[in-house]
Amino acid sequence: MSYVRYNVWLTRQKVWTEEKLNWLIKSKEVYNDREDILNAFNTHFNTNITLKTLRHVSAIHKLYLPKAKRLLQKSLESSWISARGFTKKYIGDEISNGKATYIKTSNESKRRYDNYIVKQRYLYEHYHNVTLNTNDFIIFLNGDKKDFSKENLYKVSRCVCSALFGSKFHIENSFQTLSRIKYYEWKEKINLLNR
Amino acid sequence: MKKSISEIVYETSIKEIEKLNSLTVTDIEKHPYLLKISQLKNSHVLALIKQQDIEYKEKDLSLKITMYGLRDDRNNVMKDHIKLQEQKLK
Repeated sequence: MSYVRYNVWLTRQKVWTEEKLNWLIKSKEVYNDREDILNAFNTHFNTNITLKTLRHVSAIHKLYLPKAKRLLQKSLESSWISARGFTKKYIGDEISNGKATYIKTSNESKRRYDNYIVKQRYLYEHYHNVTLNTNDFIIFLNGDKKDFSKENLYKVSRCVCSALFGSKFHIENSFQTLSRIKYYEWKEKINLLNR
Repeated sequence: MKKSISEIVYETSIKEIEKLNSLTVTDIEKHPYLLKISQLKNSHVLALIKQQDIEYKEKDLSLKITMYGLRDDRNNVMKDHIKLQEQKLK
């Protein structure tokens, strides 16, 4: 018996039948937005297609469906307008880049990031009524970078900060970090007196 | 009551910082051994911290070993189950 390979294309079912395509052509007269057409199509034929596939189909069969204007407008507002400075930030507003949160404190400088201060730094200055140098760093004792309470923030020097995170010892709780910080401060003191 | 290592580190470092703060330049010139004693204590405390870190790593390793043992047992059970199913099909 000779082996005959089964051809898939002979018995394939057409996904985009003429019924569906005709429905899409007629829907242009009813709806003005592509998102509405998509929702109506999914409910009518009980399917789960996305905007990407609909775009692909309209391009292949030359349906000339209307654009998804609402979604386009939303994306414009989030990216294009904010990039050109139309969404203005006021003093006291917060921005975050995923790693740290910043607070806007002034409008004086032309350079954008001179007007912003890191949140933990700003709060520490207000908690203790001090002005921080460039040598000072603020550490979260808890390890949680979203906990801005007074007990969780601690001021260390640049040397201590680099020694603490450079050592790569495992730290379990906030008291352990405090003890390590005190140890490195002691070490820094000895090094300063040795000079 | 026995103190934990982090408590010992905290207390000794605070005491030593206070001592060093009270020292003047002339004191250090007169008695240079004061600084050396402090340095020795510092190295001793560092050894304690390293000991604490080693203890943590040992605990972590033992936990990992038990986890891998459990995983091995589970895999053996799965293999036996597959063999039984194959025998049933035959």
